[in-house]
Amino acid sequence: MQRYSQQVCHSAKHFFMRKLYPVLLIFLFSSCIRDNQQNSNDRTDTEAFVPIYASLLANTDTISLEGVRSTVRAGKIYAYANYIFQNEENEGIHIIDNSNTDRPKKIAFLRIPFNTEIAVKGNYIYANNNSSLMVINMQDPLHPAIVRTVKDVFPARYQEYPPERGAFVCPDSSKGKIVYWELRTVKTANCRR
Amino acid sequence: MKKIIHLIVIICLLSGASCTKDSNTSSFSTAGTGGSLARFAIAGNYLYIVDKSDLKIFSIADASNPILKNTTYVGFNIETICPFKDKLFIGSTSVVHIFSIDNPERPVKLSTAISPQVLRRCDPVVAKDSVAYATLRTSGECGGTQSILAVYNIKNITQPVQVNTYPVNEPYGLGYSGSALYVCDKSKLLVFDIRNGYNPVLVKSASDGVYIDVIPYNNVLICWVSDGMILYNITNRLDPKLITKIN
Repeated sequence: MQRYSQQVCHSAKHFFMRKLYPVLLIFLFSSCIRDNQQNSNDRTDTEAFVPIYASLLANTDTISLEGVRSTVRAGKIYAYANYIFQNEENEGIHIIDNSNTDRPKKIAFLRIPFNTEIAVKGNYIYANNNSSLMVINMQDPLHPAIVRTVKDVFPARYQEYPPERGAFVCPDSSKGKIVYWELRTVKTANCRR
Repeated sequence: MKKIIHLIVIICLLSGASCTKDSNTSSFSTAGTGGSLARFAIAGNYLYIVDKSDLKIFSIADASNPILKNTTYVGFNIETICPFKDKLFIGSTSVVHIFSIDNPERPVKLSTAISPQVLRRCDPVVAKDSVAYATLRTSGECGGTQSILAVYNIKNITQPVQVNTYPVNEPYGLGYSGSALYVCDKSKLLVFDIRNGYNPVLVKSASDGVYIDVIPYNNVLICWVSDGMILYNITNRLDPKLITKIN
């Protein structure tokens, strides 16, 4: 009985040395790595503006009418006739039907890449899209149509640095035009203004 | 100090004068995080667009077909444009240019107000006849020790005279309709009775969101809040009633 238990003990020791120990080592080692990463995260993770390049994005000049969606980055508002428009920053325009003022409701989302501003005259929306001015017929808001695109109205701005002061990721001019700057958490923000 | 206050007033006037308020004709907004690439405003049959240094004038007599009529050099680092009465106020990061648009296709520069870099930090003014209301925020680069709603006599538009102030917390946009002035004060919407224009009286406040700007539009007060929009019924101008939130 005793012999048996010794054997068990021995084999347990053996098991520990041969199998568990390396595992333990790996565990210790990996936890070391994690700690290091954690430390380096603490040191370098920072909020900074990151340049977003037009060349890396698809369909930057195509508009489309989409279903209603939640407002995430609420932008400027504009009222016209029975409609209220609210910009979704850099994404497009929420269209709200206000013909029943007791029950205004979103009816559609007009996707206009990199749009930040709108103005309306007659049934036409003027909206910025990259460097172009788009004229969109909104007589029937559920069937918007681009009637004209005036190119090069808005020359590229903020190509060297973002509009807001603070840390930012240095732009790389070889990647082409920057369409906007997005605040993100990044490892390295090597420029500052 | 007085000089600085005047400068701030002028800058604020220029940076926002009634721009966000006249919902049928204008287009104006300060740059948001991430930056905006465009600045434009409608005055009459013209669409005025500023880029980094130039003012472009488009005729939109035919609204579907903007036609470039003129391009005028303004200055460096142009950020904002805003029509007010027969003037255009064009703000850069450091100065404000005042243009006359008596001839809408050929704006003429009247003056340039030199300022500290506060243009985009200060908030709009709305003007009603000879009274203007401005919200002056102390956060950011506006300076000062107390955020205020300021009341100006603007019989001479280029030389506003401060006639009254009202302490507020962290004000943003504002707008008026009839007897009421609506002021976005971060987590509060303040309602002032302005039947005596030079002496606004606080009569009500609402706290349904974080308020950024307002457009009084017929009997509806449209509020831009941080996560979307809040609408109030203002059939009774001094007593807004919540209709709904849209987000």
